[in-house]
Amino acid sequence: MSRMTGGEVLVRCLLKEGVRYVFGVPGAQLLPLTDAIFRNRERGIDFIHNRHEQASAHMADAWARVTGQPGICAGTVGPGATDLVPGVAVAYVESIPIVVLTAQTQSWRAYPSHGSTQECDQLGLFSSITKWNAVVNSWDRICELVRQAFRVALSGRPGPVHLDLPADVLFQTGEIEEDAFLEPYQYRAVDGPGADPALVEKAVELLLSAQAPLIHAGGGVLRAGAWNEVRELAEYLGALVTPTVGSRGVVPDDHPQVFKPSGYGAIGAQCGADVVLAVGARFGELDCWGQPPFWCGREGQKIIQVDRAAEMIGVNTPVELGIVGDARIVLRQIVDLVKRSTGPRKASQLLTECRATEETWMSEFEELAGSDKEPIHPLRLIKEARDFFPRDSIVCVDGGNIAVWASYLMHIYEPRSFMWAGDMGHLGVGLPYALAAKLACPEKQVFIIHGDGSFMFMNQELETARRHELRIVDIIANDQAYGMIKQGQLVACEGRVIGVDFYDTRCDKMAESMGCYGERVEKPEQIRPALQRAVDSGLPAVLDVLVDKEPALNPPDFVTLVDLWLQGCEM
Amino acid sequence: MARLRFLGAEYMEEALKRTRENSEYQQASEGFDDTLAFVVEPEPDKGIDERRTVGTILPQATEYWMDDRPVTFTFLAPYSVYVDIMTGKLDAVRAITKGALKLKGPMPKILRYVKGTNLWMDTLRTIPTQFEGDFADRSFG
Ligand SMILES: Cc1ncc(C[n+]2csc(CCOP(=O)(O)OP(=O)(O)O)c2C)c(N)n1
Repeated sequence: MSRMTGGEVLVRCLLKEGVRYVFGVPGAQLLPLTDAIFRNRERGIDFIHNRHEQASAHMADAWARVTGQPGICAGTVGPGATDLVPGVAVAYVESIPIVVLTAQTQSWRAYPSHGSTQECDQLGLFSSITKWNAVVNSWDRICELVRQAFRVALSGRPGPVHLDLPADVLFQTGEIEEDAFLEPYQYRAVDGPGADPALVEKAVELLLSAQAPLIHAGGGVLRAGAWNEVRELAEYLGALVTPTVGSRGVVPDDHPQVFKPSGYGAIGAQCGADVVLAVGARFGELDCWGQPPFWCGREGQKIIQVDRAAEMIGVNTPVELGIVGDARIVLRQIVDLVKRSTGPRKASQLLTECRATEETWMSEFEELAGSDKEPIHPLRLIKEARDFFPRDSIVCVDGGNIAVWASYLMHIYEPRSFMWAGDMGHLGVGLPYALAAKLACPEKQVFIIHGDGSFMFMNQELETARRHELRIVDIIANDQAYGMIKQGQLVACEGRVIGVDFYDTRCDKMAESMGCYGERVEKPEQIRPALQRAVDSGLPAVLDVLVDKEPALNPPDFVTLVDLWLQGCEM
Repeated sequence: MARLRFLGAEYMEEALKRTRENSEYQQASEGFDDTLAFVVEPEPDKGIDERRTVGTILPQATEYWMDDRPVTFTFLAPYSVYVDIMTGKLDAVRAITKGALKLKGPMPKILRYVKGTNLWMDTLRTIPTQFEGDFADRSFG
């Protein structure tokens, strides 16, 4: 039996879940939590303080993306909690499991409000951007509610959960037995579920009847750690593979059967495949809803959809067969049955055709990427970064046009090594994502391809980087504008632009002021040496690269994207 | 040169001639070697009463036909969409990806020849073109 504060009980529960970091900004009401973290550091947990809580939520999100384990963020009552909101919303939209902890004013004067300083309805605030949330209304319920938080965050379609912790509950002390802290397997499913064998049989029957099968792998594959199964099945069946934007790297980009999301090769594959096995993918907007003209449509294509969450089956496009189950386990079931039923198959003619299409499509970008012109072409910048960093680097993308350019030209070779909040499209995630990735994988190089607009949303986190010696390289494509929006205005408003241009800001000098390495780059041949100097500096580094404003305004397929985003909205 | 009725016999003769003579297009479309048909859906309320089909083989452009013989690619759209494409208001590939111009046939191949497609459109846009029905005032050249 030990005597503990509520904060310490909470920390001991987190330790059982293997939590290593809580990201946040401290506050008076959070004191028992931060102090308990301090006193439990030798058990392997620590507090990483940010310069804005939004960054804490983004770091928790990125931690989950890179490690597969839920990330934890914390904010104090009122402003601390409200500052977390944008980051939690991104994780919610992108189905990333994070646990959000907020301090609340004392339980006897919250819900309803009595006018305490900073008090606000945090339960209401987070309810629409979390899968579940609750007020921890007594010291006795801390363990139970933390267990529920992890149970919900990780079950079905993963996502954020939120615990609102009244100060009196955190400060209260009580006696607790060591065995009150359960192991995760004692209170939540740590694996599965698998699929009904009859459904697996049906799926295999469909796959084996296909002339040109396609595996469409979504974020669920990354969350479930199912990339080996995807690859094994694809290679055995000769199937084409189209990862979604959020699951780049499930199969390396240089694998002969894989196609880049939204590329012409992928669109060709999605239109030409007669059977599609969609795993952990909901066919959202960036997947063109799984509908013609970017997909074949029901007449010529049968879709098998595997998802952990029953409510995702057929939500955007009709399916032939829906299977509810964990991506890794269901794929393993499918692979095993396929191997028992048939020998390895050769890839279809569709693969050859789509490969040729992809190569033609990419060749134009590669040509631009070789440009020696000044000012620097954005594609040249991306190519230099791509060629400089090792294969297992982690790439974070954050911006408008530059993000689109980067998603096309960057090659991603490993699972969980490409981070882009593509579904939420939230500017500012880049630096916090990179910092969490570097914390999780200190042995890997981590770099960001940043727009100058998006860099400015979270640049204060360079100080966090310096303080924790997180040696990331932040590469800013500086076009002195919100380029993507400027381009949209030029197209839609007959040349009128408003609210999109910037003063020439020295991002490199900002970095230097926070103890980081900074350099401005203006010529294409300077990029590579500058990258080398950035890495050699032994510091977090910012390269402020002036790019040509004209091409920066015209990324490939811009109009196609605009058509998708503004479908049904014409000026 | 007088304007030629869009997709009429004279128009098609001229289109094939200019297609064969455009070396840049021929180079960009090398290896395409396939048959296509353009189906124009009627829009009676805009003075376009009949369904029309025109087919050809590209990039050879050696012949055209106006019947429903089997082809590898069929493009299908109302007359107004073709007018938008020919007048440059709508990019041809964008018309496909928007779903305005419906395509039956292997998409990968079409996407591989996007450059060729755009150059072909440019070629056709050099022909003085007469549109029909309510679209007459959008004729050009
Ligand atoms: C938080 C947030 N605010 C506004 C937007 C709308 N938005 C989308 S792209 C963009 C411009 C991005 O500019 P920058 O990061 O410099 O990249 P560029 O387009 O210039 O390459 C804006 C403002 C957004 N996506 N996220």
